[in-house]
Amino acid sequence: MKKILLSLIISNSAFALEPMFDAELSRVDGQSGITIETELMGESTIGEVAYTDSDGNGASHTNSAGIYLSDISIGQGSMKMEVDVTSDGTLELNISDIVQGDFWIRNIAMGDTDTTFGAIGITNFNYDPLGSYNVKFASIDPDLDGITQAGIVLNFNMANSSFDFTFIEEGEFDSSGMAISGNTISYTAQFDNFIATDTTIYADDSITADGREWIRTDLGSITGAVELQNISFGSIGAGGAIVGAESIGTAGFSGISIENSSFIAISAH
Amino acid sequence: MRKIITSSFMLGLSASVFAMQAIDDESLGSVTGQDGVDVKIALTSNIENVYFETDGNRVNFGNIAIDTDSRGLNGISNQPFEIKIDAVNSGFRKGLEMAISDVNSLSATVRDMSLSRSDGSSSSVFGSIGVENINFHGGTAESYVIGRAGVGDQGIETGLSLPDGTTLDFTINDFEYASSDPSATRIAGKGGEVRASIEINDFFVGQTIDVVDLGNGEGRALRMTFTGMEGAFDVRNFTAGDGSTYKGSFGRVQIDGMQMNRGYLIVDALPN
Repeated sequence: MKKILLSLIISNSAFALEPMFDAELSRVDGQSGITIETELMGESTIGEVAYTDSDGNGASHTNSAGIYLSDISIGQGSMKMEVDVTSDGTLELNISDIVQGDFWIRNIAMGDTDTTFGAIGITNFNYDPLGSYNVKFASIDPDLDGITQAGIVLNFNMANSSFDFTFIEEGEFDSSGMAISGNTISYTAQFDNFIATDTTIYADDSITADGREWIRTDLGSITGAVELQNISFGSIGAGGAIVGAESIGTAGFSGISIENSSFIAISAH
Repeated sequence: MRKIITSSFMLGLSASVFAMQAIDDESLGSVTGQDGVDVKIALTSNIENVYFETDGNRVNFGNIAIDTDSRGLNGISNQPFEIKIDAVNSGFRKGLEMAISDVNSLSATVRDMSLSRSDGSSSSVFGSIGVENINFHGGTAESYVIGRAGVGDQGIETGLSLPDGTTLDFTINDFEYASSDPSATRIAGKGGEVRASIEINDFFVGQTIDVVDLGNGEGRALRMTFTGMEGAFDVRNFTAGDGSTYKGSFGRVQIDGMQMNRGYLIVDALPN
């Protein structure tokens, strides 16, 4: 299967274009997709992601409120993505070779922006090369009534990937985003052949009698195991490192099976 | 002995767009500022093993069965329960409030509680525990996660109240099975079961959760302070048997007006 290789380097995207000769052009036939390699050269930041009620902006005490995630950073990373349109009209993305930098949300607030609950970080992401993310934008027939609709089908294979999770309470950060104080809860999440298949997301107006639309997620199946290793309490020391952490142990689960009738649905009220 | 910790999750969700119609004054009078998202969950699942391990020794909770609606044939009637989520900011209370309803027959059982080495060897099985057929009878449970007012990010306050008349069945047994497979058949004549039906009224539990410095060089720990717990419990059909034949009822236990004021639990690592 031939593919056209595109290399995208974000923040440095100038290309020189050269004409193709007829002889070269004649060899281009029946391409079945493209491969995109992307690399995030430096840290990206997001000032705030906020969800607020439509009855206010969270600034006054009139029951207007929201959830506010601020001072977000996404570290340097890269991935390879294959994009293909199959004969049945499905747009399929296969994401692999993922290198993910540290991810931090340094302030999580609920109610108003001043009521902080702490910070979370996902760091030292070690992505197993055997893992992949498969995303399909497809026509699906969830009711099996012959009427199709648009849906998204997710197949995630975490293989034996791992990452460190840190929650910082009462955290303070310097201007570079490094933690300089706070109490921590931390652990390493280790996946073991963890695969989630056929997680399907689509709109469904049959869940309630009022006919409103719900965003429904059919859970598909999950196999494999996850272990939360070295669950520890500590504090932030010099250089942003966790100090004084003492492990209370390791927790985990394995062997999940889910009935295919299981789902989660979300709608506005 | 080291102890276990649970973690919590948050959802950030977006609202939908609807065609808009004018609201007359009468209708507007009934608008009370509620806004947010509804979540419906229907789940029938089995988890082979959940464990907590220290120094190569595990406590195992094997074959955990969760069914959000076990009324139907073989437990697959699949009617979801609902959680209404609202972000709140009343000036004093800032956080999330959740209302849980349509709980008709929610069941959760742990079939194989055991101790073992980390590789599963030297297993000793205690038995099973189950909370089945939780039914709100049309009522609504309310829960909240609130930032502690006036003290910055000094942990969170959580609370849960159950609707009056909530019923559930509670079972403990030490049945034995042919294997650890979830579908394994029970060995006839091995073990027994105690069960009871419980009605709950006026139930509320509130707590604060904070990571604290224990001082004196003892490091950090998770501190959960119970700000209050109250309720009334009516335990009926208290009986024991072999799983098919029960020896009648032991009677009825009623606990009214239970109130517990302030207590705390600290989860800390033991020194090596």
